[in-house]
Amino acid sequence: MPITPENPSVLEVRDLGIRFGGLQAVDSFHYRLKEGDLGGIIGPNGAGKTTIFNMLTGIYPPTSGEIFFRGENIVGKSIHDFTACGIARTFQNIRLFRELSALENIKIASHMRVRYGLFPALFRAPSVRRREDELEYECMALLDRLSLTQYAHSRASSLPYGIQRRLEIARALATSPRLLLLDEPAAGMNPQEVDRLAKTILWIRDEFKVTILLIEHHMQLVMNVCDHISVVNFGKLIAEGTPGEIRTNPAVIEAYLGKGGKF
Amino acid sequence: MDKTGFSGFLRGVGRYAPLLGLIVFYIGVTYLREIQYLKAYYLQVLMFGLINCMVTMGLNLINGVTGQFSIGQAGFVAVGAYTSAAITTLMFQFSALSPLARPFVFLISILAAGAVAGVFGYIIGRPSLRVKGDYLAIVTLGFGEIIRAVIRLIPQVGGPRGFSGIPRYVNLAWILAFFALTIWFLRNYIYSSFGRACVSCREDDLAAETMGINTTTHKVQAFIIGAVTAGVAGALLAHLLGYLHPDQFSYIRSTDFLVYLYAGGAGTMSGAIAGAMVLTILPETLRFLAGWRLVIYGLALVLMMLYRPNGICNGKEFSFLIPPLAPRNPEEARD
Repeated sequence: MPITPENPSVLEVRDLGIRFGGLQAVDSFHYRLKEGDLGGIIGPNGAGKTTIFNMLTGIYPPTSGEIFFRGENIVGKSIHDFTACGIARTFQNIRLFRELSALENIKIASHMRVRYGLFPALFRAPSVRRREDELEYECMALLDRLSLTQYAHSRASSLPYGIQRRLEIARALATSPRLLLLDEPAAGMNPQEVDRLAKTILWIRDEFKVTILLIEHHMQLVMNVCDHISVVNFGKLIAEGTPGEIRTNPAVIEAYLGKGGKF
Repeated sequence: MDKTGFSGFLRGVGRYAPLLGLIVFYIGVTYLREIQYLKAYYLQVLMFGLINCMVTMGLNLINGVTGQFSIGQAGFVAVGAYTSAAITTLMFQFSALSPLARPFVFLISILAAGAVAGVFGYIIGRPSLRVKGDYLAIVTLGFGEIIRAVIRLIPQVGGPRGFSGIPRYVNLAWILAFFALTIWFLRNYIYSSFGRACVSCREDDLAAETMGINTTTHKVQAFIIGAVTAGVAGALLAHLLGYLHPDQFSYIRSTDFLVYLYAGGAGTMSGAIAGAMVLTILPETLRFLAGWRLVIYGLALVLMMLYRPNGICNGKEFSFLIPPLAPRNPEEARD
């Protein structure tokens, strides 16, 4: 579907499904995300949330359905093409380049913006030196915006857990995304850290002008930051709406707490 | 940053210090050879060592930096050696050329050796690096053996009897020049966005892809550059030895390069250089031990892996192997 002023969808997913052998992990999943939105996908363990993310980032090719990103069907492209289109993500189990410094992590993520040829690089032409200099500056500036300057030269694996999460978000932002996918950003965080994370997520949306989609277990976080929420269970969309609507939706309560449960 | 004052001058000199060091080294060695202090044999070992360094640095780009596992590096050395020898010996009748034309013809043969090795690198790397797993190891092992078998079948290059009559044109100056060029090019590559892409493939393939890096392209590119390096080293080797035999390039030879790399420390050029140099020279200095030589050599390797598992250089890079403009720590970043 083309982008029109009436239909400014950044992401539109139609009838998305994936089958692993006999298991239909995700089935006819529909989703729409407007520019600047902050969407959330929730669901019990094993509901297929991460599988959806993996399809949205090209890691799993879906067995059915379409993914329109800014009007273009991107199903079938390779992972790096998804990123080149403007989709960036973080991982549930942080996947930083552990042995490298925070700065190097950011530099690698800036790869697509470093445009010089192989031969200038081999001869380390002045243009390459200049670009590398600028890159250093850009990456330090990004780290600074996310208050990570003091960790720039520390090895990623040596950083505290919360900082690693933040660095992974910074790394995703370094690819200049239009859509940022956060896979359980609050996993393993204490309540204070979650509070700070909620502020950070809202701030990132405004500061970097990105649309954000997050998967989360942590109800409080999702209810606090998301504009609208989709609930999946057994690979299917069971409810959609604003946090208020979701809170009182009987299907959601049943999925989470069983029949007769209450939030 | 004062570029005009005395400190600026020192800094300028500092940039060329490695090059000056190399020239001083050349003059020193040549002088020692002139006064007969250095035996021709030791000079020969030194030159072998430098050639091995080049091959190992190329292998380091593939195995150490990009994190792939190639075990057929000797195959690319063979391709380069036979290609260049065929050009100088069969195509040009090198000895009949005027002395003025020789360096050019030799240079062309070196470039051709690198190019042909690179093409082989592409043919092998492209299909086997697209898939994950140990395919590259198996394919490169097979490649090394196939190359050897094919060379045996080509009578023009001597077949199983070996290729003789190659002009022994290479001297220390040629080798040092290409050694320095190899270091320079590889260093520039590793510390560019291309090199960072390679490192990201090693660290986490999937994360690298989600950073927008086409990991296959970069793995293949690194593999080709490693192959070109081996090819160029092979060209030098051919014209240092004056004689080539397919059995010089067996998988055992490939294993030697792997041992040099991992003993020195995979991932750093310093490690590749130190490993290749030390392990080329060590067996020669142990010759007085006669039959015990290889036992001690093997024992030294085992002890080193036990007590220094990250290799001779312990994962550290000599500072001159890191190009400027990329400050490693805040202190350096300040000036």
